[in-house]
Amino acid sequence: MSLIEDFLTQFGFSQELIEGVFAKPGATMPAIFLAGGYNVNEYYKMTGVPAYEIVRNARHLIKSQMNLQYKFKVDLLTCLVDLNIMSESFGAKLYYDHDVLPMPNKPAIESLDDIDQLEIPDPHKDGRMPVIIEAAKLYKEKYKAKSSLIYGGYIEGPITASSNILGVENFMRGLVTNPDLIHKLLDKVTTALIEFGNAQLEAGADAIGIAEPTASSTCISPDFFKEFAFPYLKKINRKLNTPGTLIHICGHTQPIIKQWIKIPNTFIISVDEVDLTKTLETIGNKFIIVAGNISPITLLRETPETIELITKDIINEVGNHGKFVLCPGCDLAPGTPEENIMAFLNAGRKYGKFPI
Amino acid sequence: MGLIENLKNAVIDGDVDSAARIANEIIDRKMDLKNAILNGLSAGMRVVGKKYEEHEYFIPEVIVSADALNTAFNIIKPHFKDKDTDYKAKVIIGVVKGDIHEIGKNIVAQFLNASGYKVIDLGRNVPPEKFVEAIEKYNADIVAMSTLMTPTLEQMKITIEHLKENGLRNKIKVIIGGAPTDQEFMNEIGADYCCKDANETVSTLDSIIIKNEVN
Repeated sequence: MSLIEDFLTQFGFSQELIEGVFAKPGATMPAIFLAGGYNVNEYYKMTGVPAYEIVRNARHLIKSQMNLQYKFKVDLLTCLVDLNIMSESFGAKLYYDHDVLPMPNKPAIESLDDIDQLEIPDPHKDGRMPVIIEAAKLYKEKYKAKSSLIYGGYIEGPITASSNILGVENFMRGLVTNPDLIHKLLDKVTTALIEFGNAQLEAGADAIGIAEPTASSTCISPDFFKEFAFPYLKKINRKLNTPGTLIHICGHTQPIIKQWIKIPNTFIISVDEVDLTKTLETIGNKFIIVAGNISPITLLRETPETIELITKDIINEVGNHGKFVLCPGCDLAPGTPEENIMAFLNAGRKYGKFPI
Repeated sequence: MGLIENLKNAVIDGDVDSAARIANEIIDRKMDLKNAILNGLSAGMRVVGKKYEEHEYFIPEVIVSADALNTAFNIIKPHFKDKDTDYKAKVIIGVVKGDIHEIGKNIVAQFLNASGYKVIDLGRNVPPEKFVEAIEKYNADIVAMSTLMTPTLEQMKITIEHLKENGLRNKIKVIIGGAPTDQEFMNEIGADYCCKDANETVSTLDSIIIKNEVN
């Protein structure tokens, strides 16, 4: 276990967090959340700085995240914003709004025949990649020494990024009608994602998270996951200059867990709509931490009392298994009541003391 | 197997070329087009919807099936001497303001089209005023709103409030859909129906028609 402890220490895991991950008596089940959309919206409401400015400014991004840290005292910080960073860098156009994250407007290419026109973007120049890299650098300079935080940089997964480059509908169609060209696109995008991820690590990110929602079984079949997502995620994890990554796939993922955990160097899987008992069983003795899985819709719409009960159920289901952290199934929705987020975190602190 | 059955299978298989060829043959042979639409295209799409429900098909497969359906439908449509009043009902459909995910909405629109509804598709990122404007302009019977994301759920509520303010709420049935929607949310915002997929939307609207709830 000390090997694994060393491994986790490399990512900035504190002793307390490690003990929580291993369900040691006296430790507490760790709780984290992913906040991109929520965080930008909160910061806008607090400061009046419009969302379109926050997502283009590393200083605002870091401040908005530190604001959450100050409020909720979680151990994970990420510069997570929207999932259009790579597509925009390849030339896609986005809608920018004042209170929410940017959204896709026009893909970078309209047809698979135009793949050759796509040039691999420069992470230090194109789109908002320099902003995300700068955020990692700012974190390293200003906060890293002072806190026990883990700072996670992030990239989109190859399917998610490619589908925004080509337009989701065209991408989905292409999976069936033109798999060869889709592979060509994925290959190109994978190269760009690796460069972007490594640039964030070099700038100061402790770890990299990969957000790959479009590869979930809510969107594509497990067979397509195996054929189109797996090889590229494997390549990314092998080529990133880090011993392991977090891979987040929200939506329905039970049918792909087996394949997902075969991706080398995956050390956390962030899950949404799955049966936790089955998922932990599938993982077995492998060292992979599961992060899950209270629904962000529950956090947005239910009462603190209900949220406490649901979180308690998750804690009881996982029990003393270990290799588990409490986490919402996806990015917190803008406008999620603060008392609901507190109810989730507090339930972890209240019921998550080991042994459970 | 007859041509209608072949057309149905072309839709199920997402075979655009066969769907086009069969549709042209149906027209050349002057076959009953209404039958081709209902028992070929629509029936095929119902099977596709079922396969999606049962996790046999996923979004890519549904999209290519919808492509086959659309290709055949566009070939048949100009030959189909149908009057405006022959439609079961007029449906305004759109993805609410702030959201651009429209694959699900497009599939629902295609299902409704093939099932005999007149569909006016407002696209994505549709503000409440646009829904109101279209309902008045087309004298629609049904408005269908969708969103994939949680933050934009609020827009459904706002749109319904706009309908009330413009005196339209009681003249129209409001149907909502998309991943984060459910019956509870439907009740909360005062919508009439919440459907989980394209098949359910068609059967729900058909049941409203049978009950004559549409004005």
